[in-house]
Amino acid sequence: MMLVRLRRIIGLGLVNFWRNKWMSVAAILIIMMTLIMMGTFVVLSFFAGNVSRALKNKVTVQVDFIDDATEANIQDLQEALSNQIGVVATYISKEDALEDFKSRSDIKQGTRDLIDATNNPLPRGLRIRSLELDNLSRVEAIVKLPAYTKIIYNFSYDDNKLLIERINNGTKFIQRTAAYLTVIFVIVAIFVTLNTIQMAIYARRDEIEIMRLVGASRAYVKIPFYVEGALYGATAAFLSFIIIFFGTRYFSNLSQSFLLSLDMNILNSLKGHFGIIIISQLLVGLFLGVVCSEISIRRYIRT
Amino acid sequence: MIPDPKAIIQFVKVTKRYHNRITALESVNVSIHKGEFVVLVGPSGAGKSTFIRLLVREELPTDGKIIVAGRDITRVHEKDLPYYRRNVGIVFQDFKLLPNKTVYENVAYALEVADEPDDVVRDRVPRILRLVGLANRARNYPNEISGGEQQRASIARAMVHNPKLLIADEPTGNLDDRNTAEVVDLLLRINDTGTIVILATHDSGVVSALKKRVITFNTGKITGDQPAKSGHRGGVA
Repeated sequence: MMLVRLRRIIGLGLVNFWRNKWMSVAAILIIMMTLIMMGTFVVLSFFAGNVSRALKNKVTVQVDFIDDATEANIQDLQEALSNQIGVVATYISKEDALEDFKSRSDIKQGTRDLIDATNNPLPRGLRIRSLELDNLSRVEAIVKLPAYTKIIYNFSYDDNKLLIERINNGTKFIQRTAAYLTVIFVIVAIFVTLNTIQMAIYARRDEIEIMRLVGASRAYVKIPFYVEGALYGATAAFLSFIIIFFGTRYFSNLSQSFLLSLDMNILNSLKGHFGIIIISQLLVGLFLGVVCSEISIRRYIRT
Repeated sequence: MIPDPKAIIQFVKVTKRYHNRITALESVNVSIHKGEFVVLVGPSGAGKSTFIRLLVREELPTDGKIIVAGRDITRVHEKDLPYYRRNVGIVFQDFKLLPNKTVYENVAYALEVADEPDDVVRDRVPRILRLVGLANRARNYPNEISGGEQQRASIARAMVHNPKLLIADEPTGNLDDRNTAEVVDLLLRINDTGTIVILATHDSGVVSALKKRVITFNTGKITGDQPAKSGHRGGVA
């Protein structure tokens, strides 16, 4: 008997979904909008995260030492810097510096030929890379300790400080704004979805009354609406995933040309996450469909 | 009022007030017995519809008891209401058919909600549709059939689970003379099988032709209770 009831109730939901086609299309489109908005923000913040990581990796500062600096002094500074979390300080010997100089394509061949191993005025240095740009201020504080300033010939952070701070503030601003916008849009989208389903159910309030009057139990009235809501959510999740997938592919191809120097492909780096994206979209879709149906139908089932 | 053990339906000092101001029914006492056909008459706002709404437990009285088959339905718990309603067939002036279901599905729905097995549904629905003359309309949606046919479909739905009580609230209000006669005849046939029929109507032609018990409502009170003219089946020509 339980099985027969279940089959009938689910059947009612499926038939209603199909016969109220236009209502279903409207509800699916609205839920799709919510899911696409959420999905787009996920992909965009993923993308922004990747870009900002790639940019940060490119940011290095360099300390150049005067020729009189002893290896012990340099090692001391290197250790002091490397003890900082997320900071890597790599020693550049005169030979390394020469090799780097020789391989630089932005310097004319003639100029490059002026220097060789026997005549190498290039200073020894430390190349400092920090995972978080904020840490660079701590790096600066250490480098500028009196013990070290006397052995330092040049500190590149002084030249690039403004640029680095701009990159740092820019990425932070973008990430924060994206997070706020996501929250605001998702809340608005949830209300719009609720409103759409509420209107769909309002249009059928007479049906609910009739069902109750011919002796249908609460479950018999409500569950078919849940089934309809779940179908709205599942269909919307499926369609919005397809749109996000192809949208990302298009955007990925488009952006590749100007992001080549950062060596990243959004589609490839997102590939491992598509499973999670579709499952979370499905869950959010089902949640929206069923919960909005429950909230909307509750007021029409009194007796 | 003295309890009437033979009554199937009994209203005992039933009062219904809305917002504590408007009195729709005032201290109504009435008994209805097995197999009776009762016609409720009276002007609009006299209390007929309130009487019916209370009887199907759409609303609760402000005061008094409503006893149906020995049970005070004002005390029936909400979760048990569907079981009570499955023993009552209701026919409305505006038919109240489910618009997205075919005639067959509308009638079958009343059985399905009562968990009747599939073979019972398959057997009983075509039979009742033949009885009301809608066998050839089974696959049509309500908006594809006439008002008279819709009302017959709604009677089929009300009757398909063999209720002990059939309530018809102005069932002929939207119908022409020919369809009115058909619907009244159907109600009489249902009554012949032993089902109590309560018919609320404005149609004086129907009332006089039926020659059944007539209860008259006026300003929320029963102002007349005229017994059936014995030996007459009634009917509208």
